[in-house]
Amino acid sequence: MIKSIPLFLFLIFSFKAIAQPQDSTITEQEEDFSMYDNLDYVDQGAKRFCTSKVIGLSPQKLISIGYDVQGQTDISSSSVGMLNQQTEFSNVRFSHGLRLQGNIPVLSRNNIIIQVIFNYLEQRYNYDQTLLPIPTYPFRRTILQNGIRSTGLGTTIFKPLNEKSFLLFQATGDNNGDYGWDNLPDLVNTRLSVAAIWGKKVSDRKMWGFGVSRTYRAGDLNYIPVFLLNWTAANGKWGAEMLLPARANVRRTFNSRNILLLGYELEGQTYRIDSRNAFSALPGYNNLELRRSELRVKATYEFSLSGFIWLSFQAGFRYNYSFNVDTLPNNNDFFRGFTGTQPYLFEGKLSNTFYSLVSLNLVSP
Amino acid sequence: MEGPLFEGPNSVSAMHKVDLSSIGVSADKINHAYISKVRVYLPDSSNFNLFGDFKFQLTADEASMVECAQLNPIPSNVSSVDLKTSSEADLKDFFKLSEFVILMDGNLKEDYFENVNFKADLEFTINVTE
Amino acid sequence: MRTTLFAIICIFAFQVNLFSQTEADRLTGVWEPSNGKARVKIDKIGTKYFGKVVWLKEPIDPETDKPKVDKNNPDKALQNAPIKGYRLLKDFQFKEGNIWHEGTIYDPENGSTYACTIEMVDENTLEIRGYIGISAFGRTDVWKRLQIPKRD
Repeated sequence: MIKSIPLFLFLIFSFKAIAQPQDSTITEQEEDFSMYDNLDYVDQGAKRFCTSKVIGLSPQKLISIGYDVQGQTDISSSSVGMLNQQTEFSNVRFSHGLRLQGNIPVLSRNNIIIQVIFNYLEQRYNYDQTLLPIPTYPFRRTILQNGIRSTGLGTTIFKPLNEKSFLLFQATGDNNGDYGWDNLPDLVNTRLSVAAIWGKKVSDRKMWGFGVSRTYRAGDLNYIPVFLLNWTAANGKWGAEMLLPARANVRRTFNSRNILLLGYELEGQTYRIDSRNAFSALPGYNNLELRRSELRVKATYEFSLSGFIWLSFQAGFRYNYSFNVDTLPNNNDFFRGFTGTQPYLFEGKLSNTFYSLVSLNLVSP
Repeated sequence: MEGPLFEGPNSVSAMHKVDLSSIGVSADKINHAYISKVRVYLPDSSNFNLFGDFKFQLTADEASMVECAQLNPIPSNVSSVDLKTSSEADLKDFFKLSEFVILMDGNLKEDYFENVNFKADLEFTINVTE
Repeated sequence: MRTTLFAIICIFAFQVNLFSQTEADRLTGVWEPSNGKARVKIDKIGTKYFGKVVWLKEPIDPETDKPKVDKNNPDKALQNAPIKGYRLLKDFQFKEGNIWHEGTIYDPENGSTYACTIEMVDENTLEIRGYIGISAFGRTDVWKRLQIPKRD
């Protein structure tokens, strides 16, 4: 049982001034704020650099643990190795998977920030196994039984040049495929993504930048220009966070601990399929790459549970962008881009569906 | 002690010796303590027009400083003010010590050439587990 | 347990801090963060060091047209306290050499308080590192000492 006990104090205050002493002994002075208006440095001021954030930006996630669930979807694709190239079709009740991400600062000073980034994403499928014919349709069987995973490691470097301009560089190596803990991926299949941006910090509320990237977000390897914009309105309630064309969000800030983001993100990678030799009986089909990409239109609500521990709820609609498969000559990836004419081994389809993602995050100061 | 006092922040402090036995409380039974009332008043019934704002903090060598009450702006032509107190600012660590410092900050709006004397009534609420 | 009312009469005495030239007291003075947006005066209270804002480059809040207040403080009762005069640095204790530790730094822009360590690189330069949990999850800023003019 809790009891409340009041405790009274009666205090007598006296604000008094202390005369300036004649000798060099320092005594506490009454403070006149105006005396701090025009002060000089004792030696020289610190060189000023712009910071990597704008006021009101959604907090960066140092560590994020999330779970993604997508609704019912139909997968249709040509059958690999079948003489009559029939289209196979599967109904997936739902797909789901763990998402781990990290952005760990290894060096964080006002003149440079270097972060190590890592991520692990998986997508596993829940489907009616009685509808899966055996032993045909090895591609579909491999995907549905094993799921697909992406494991990445990389770095982000933010280098401010002065108070107004900066360089931003990111590079990650991702190993993606149908591997599992029982058959770890071959590092030879690691795919490199890189982005380099030069930008300007116009004010505490606005920064922008232009650059180029080497990316697999569309599934295939692409080289595309990128545009960065982080902006917060003067009233602090609205803002925009964009890294086009990969993602864009409009931000509504309720207070420093509750924000809502509305926008989209293009997610994708290229996945090596056949870590379990499902196609060993089919010569010429052992270096399959699934070019997987999806566009997520989403609403995200993030709030502080306690201090720097934030919870994030995301819900939206997932549009399939690419579910096509290539076979790689000599096991080397190739550049097709948006204009290449190399045909896919087969083109798959994934019907669109709703999804949700919940994550627990440790955010950056 | 004499003036003048300068425009800007001014701080005064007082040491308070903790004596929980006089109220029959044991330090290890305290689960929360907060300041529930701070009334500052001028004994000669003049007003606080000289001051812009007040803030109260508790500090001690063995405990972290805690802001626990403030008033900004101070109303005109009043001779006593009640500060806005924080029930969330937990002060129990201070009541587990033998003494702590009550620190009051007050911003003067302009230079003033005399002393300013006033009093404050503080009420703390200590929640104990029976 | 019976509720007991009891009163104490305290006499306040203005505390005069006579700065001795100790190693720890080298931290005292007026300092400016690298962004130049504020000036912070570090003083000693008891055996610990505290830093309060004495100057702001932009003292007026454009939203309210009034002096900036601590509107992002998670404690609603304290959201109206002025930023000028606010103690951003609190409870630093001198360790040894050039380190003051066990302190905190408060960011009024988001209402967050971080663990903090101060290292004096030289007599006129501080490296202030604010972090959450472990030092790796933080950021270092360079502060420079300012000259305080003698008052007439």
